Order: sequence, then structure tokens, then C-alpha cells
Amino acid sequence: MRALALFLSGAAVFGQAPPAAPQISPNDQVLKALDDVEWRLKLGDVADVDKIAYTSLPPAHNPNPTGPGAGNPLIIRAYTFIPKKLDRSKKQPLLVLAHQGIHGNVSSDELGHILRELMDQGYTVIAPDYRGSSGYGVGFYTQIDYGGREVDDVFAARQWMLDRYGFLDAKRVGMIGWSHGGFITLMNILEHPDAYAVAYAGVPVSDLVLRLGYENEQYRALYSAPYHIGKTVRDDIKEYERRSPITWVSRLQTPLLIHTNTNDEDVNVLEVERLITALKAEGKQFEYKVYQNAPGGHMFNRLDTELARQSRQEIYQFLAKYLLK
Amino acid sequence: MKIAAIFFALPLFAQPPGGRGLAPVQTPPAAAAEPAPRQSTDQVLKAIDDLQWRLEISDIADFDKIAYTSLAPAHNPNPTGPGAGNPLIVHAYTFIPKKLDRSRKQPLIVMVHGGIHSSFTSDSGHIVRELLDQGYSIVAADYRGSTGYGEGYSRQIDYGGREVDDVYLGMQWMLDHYPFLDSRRVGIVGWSHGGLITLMNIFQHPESFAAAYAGVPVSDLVFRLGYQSEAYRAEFSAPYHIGKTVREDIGEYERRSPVSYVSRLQTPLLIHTNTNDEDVNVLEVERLISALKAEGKKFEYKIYENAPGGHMFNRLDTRLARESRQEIYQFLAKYLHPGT
Repeated sequence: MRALALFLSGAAVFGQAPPAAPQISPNDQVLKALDDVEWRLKLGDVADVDKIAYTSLPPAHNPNPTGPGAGNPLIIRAYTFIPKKLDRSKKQPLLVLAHQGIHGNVSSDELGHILRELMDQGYTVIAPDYRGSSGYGVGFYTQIDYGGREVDDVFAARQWMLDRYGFLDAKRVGMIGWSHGGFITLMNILEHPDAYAVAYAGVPVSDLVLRLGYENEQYRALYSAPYHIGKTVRDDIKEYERRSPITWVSRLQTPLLIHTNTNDEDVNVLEVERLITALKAEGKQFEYKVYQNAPGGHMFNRLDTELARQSRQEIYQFLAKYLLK
Repeated sequence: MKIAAIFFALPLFAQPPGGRGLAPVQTPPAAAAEPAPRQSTDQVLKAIDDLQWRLEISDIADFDKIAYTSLAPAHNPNPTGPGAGNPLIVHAYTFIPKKLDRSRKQPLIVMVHGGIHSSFTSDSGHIVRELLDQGYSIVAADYRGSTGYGEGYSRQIDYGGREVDDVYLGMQWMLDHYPFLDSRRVGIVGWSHGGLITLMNIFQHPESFAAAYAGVPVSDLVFRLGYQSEAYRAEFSAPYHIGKTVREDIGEYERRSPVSYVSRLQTPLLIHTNTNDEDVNVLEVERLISALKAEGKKFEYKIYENAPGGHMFNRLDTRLARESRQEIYQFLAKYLHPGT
């Protein structure tokens, strides 16, 4: 009922003003339940698939400190994939995968084939639905903390996996993500330089101030919403800088590969070029590639085209240098 | 963006589809220019059906769903907008018989779903099983305008336009990806709107297909919109689609009609129609048959007399439907040689 009420009030103001309420799909949880079945069917032949729950930092907002459970750690769910053929008597590498999308989730449509490719290479993978992900109702959706505690949620997933599976090698943990997931990847390696052996950031959100400069009102409103940052960029530019990977480039120590694409309709190539420039200005060592008009735009290397598969081969070769023995 | 699309769609529920009530229809209803008001459940039904496909077919086929790029959207309202003119991403289902000998060259069938604003659903499951049993690999694209991908994709519809390319490129993807497929043994099969896309494909690419089946095919849009309702006509003249009525641009509707291209036929073709078809009137298909005859073309056809099922007569599980499909399969096998 609560979700429906919020949804309708959002609809009522749509078109006149930025929505005051979360723009959550009425089928949010239904689609998630179906995709959870899909994950098992798509990967079950090659992987042990599981979905786990752990606790992370408390909500970023605490409107009623005397309310029940106020300040309690937030419960996060994550998908875990372990190759069936894996030799667990040896130390093995781990990949942490951060999903895309403001309010996206770990979707088998986007990631099913990629997960199969990772299983083939012998990677164990954990992919959390960090706070703000869709699929868990409006309550979890409004926990979004872009560039904030979501970064900790993903880092805690890495820790959970290492604690739970003794065969995983803490010195061979890689991290990958596209778009918002590329952003969380960057924030993770910049906040925890010792925790990751390698990272891949595909078409990563890199600079929120620049980004909200070219995005529309509806998108900007997802950030300034009262349940989220609560202020516009103009009202608090520092808060948006603090949440941007570009601000922290001096901390880079992790081997890093970045991909971007000149016709990306979501994360404009300019935004990623700003990040690349900032890294260069700091004299950092990293690899990158700017694809020219690659078909698929933002999705260019997450499709089933020849180019996408070749691009992913480059990613895998880069990861393997640091993760596979 | 997906989320926003769903969000947009809900207010449309307030507007019932026009033309069905007691009141006479004088003008196209305001809602008719909008896509059908089913988008908020559209993706849920698709997600369920994708699971259904996997469960229904996995015992005999390697089943997958793939994404590739096709031509850019037909409309480009803001050429300076982000990603304007980028290729459209299209999804397709692929089926390969588990028992197939991949060390030999094998035939491929391109299946084209029907329906204005529909999708490739497991309602075709029995037909897919029959084709797999014969040793055909299959690719079936959810070409632009298909349901199941939100309102944005539904509005990409380009009837008789770039949807034809989407299907062609699905075939191309399959040939590129699976070298055991024989590019000289590709057949194409579709009913209704899928029959139109089948015909357009063999007329535009006469060298690419070894055989084609068009069941109850949409054949002549000018004629068709002569006998269809206002709500249906509005699906075509909608601003996101053709943008003009037939009266305003008859040439554009002709350009999108198979009947305009019959002189190009080179591909062995079988056509079926049915006198009691409630959707694609038998007269429309007869116009196509006459046009082909007038050009002196060789092709096969059969006009079923009052076959139970109407538009669906040979896609059911009745004896007649199965017999009719056997005729289709015998026709295809002559040119595609499955199981050899």
C-alpha cells in the first residue's frame, strides 16, 4: 500500500515539477522475484548460485533516533556465484561486481552472459544489491546513498565472501563494474587501496557535479530528494564533490582499466575523459581505452556483438594478469 | 530509464481504448495515439515468459537470449541529444537442437513473431519444438516495437520499415556466431505481421533465403487500413510511428507493403490464408496472390475454406493445424534439407 501511494503521488506531479516521491516501478519486487529464478536457471549448470543477506552500516538518514531499531545496521542482499568445477583445495581469486543504474539491480538480462564467462575463467563472484537498489520495495530504494554508504555495502560484501569461503585469496580480489557500478568500483579502490589487486571501471560515472550539469531535472531530483542528499549541487557543491571519484584520484594505487565510448548516451565520454585527465595530472599509472562510436552506446561491451565480446576479452586479459596464476 | 518508462505508462490506464463502446466513434480517441495501455505489466509478462521458454524447451534445445545492435531509431526528434542516432539494441531468442551434429553444416530458420506490438512468446512453443525436432536451429528477434521491453521500445515501431532490418540482422548475428550454420540453407517463417516481415525480407534480400513461409500475411497496408478500425489505423498514424494517415501519404504506406515489391520475388515461397480470418482478411492475401500471378512468379499457396481457428487456424493443436504445419515443413525441407 505504501509503495502504491508513493507511486501515485509521483505520477500526479509528473510533467510539472521534479517528482517528490520515488519513481519506483509498481512491479519492482515481482520482476526481482522472476529474475532470481532466471539467475538460477541461467547459471545453475556451471555455478553454485546463492543469495545471501548480511549487515552493513546503518541508514545514512535517521529521521527518528528514538524509533524502533533506529541506527541499526542495514541488511543487504548479495548474489554469490562459485564455479562448479573450482578446486577449493587451492587458494582462488574473487571478483566483486557492482551493478549499474541509479536504482538498478543485479540483473540477469544485463549480466547473465558475463557471469557465465567469469565462471568459465574460474572466478568466484559476489554481486550485492547495495542500498538504493530496486527489487526490494520503496523502503530500500529510498536508502540510496550515491557515493556514500553504498560503497561500504559493496566493500562489506567482499569481506563477507572472504570470511565465509576459506579457499578465497584475500590478495587476489578484483573489482569490476559498469556505469554506477564503475563509479562504486572507483570509490572502492580509492577508499581501500590495499583491498583490491585490480579493478575495471566500464563507462564509469566519475564526476557528479559535471554529470548533473548535463543531466535533466528528473535525474537531478533523484539526488536532491529529501531521502537522499537533500540538497541540490548549487546548495552544497562540496557534498557532490565528496561523492565523486574524480576528487580522490590522488589515492590510486590499484591496477586499473577504464573504458569509455564516444557515443555513450548515459555517461557522456566527457565525464570519463575528465577522470582520465585528472589521473594523468596526478601522474598515475593506469590503462584506458576510448572507443569511437562503438554500436551499443552505454551498453557497447555488455551486448552479444563481436565487438562486445572482443572488448570483454581485453578486460579479462587485464584482470587475469593480477588475479589468475 | 526503464523505471521512468514504466512510471510514465500508468496514467494511460485512465484512458480506455476507444472504439469498443456503445457510442459511435466519430474521431480517433485521444488515447489511440498512445501505445496500448498494458506497458506496466508488459515487462512482468515478458520475464515470466522468458522463464517459460527455458523450462519448455531446455530438454531438447540450447536456449539463449541475445542482444545485438541494428539500425538507429527511425525517428530522431533531437539530433543533438545524448546518443542521438545510435544503433538500436535488439534482443532475440536463439534455439539450437541439443542433438545437432555441429561438425556438419546445418540449416537455420528465422522465425518472425506476429501482432502489431507483440513479442516472441512461448505460445509458439509447440511450433518451435516441431522445428527443433527436425534439426533446425532458430533465431527469433523481438524487433523494434515489440512488447516486453517497456514503452520506449514499443514506440520504436516501424511497420514494414526498420523492423525488417532488425530481423535480417538477427539472422546475420546467428550466421556470424555459429559457423556450423549454412548461409545457403536459411529459411524464414512468419504469420500475420510476421508474414509481412517475412515477405519484406525475401523481397529486399532475395539471395539470403532459400525458402520462405508466409502464413496469413499482412500484405497491403493501404487495403488493410481500408477495412480496419480507427483505433488500429491510429497505431500507424501515431506521431512516434508513421506520423501521417494513408490519405496524407499513400506512397509511404505503399512503400511498407509487400504487394508493392512482388516483382522482386526469387525465393521459393509458400503462402497460406483462410476465408474466415478475422484479422488479415482473405481478400488482402488474395490481392498479394493476384499480384504475384500477374508478375508471372512461381510460388505456392493454399486458401483454406473456413478452417476452424480463423487467423490462428494452423497455429493451434487441432488435427487440421498439425496437418497444415506438416505441409509447411515438407515445403521447407525441400529447400533446407534438415537432418542431413
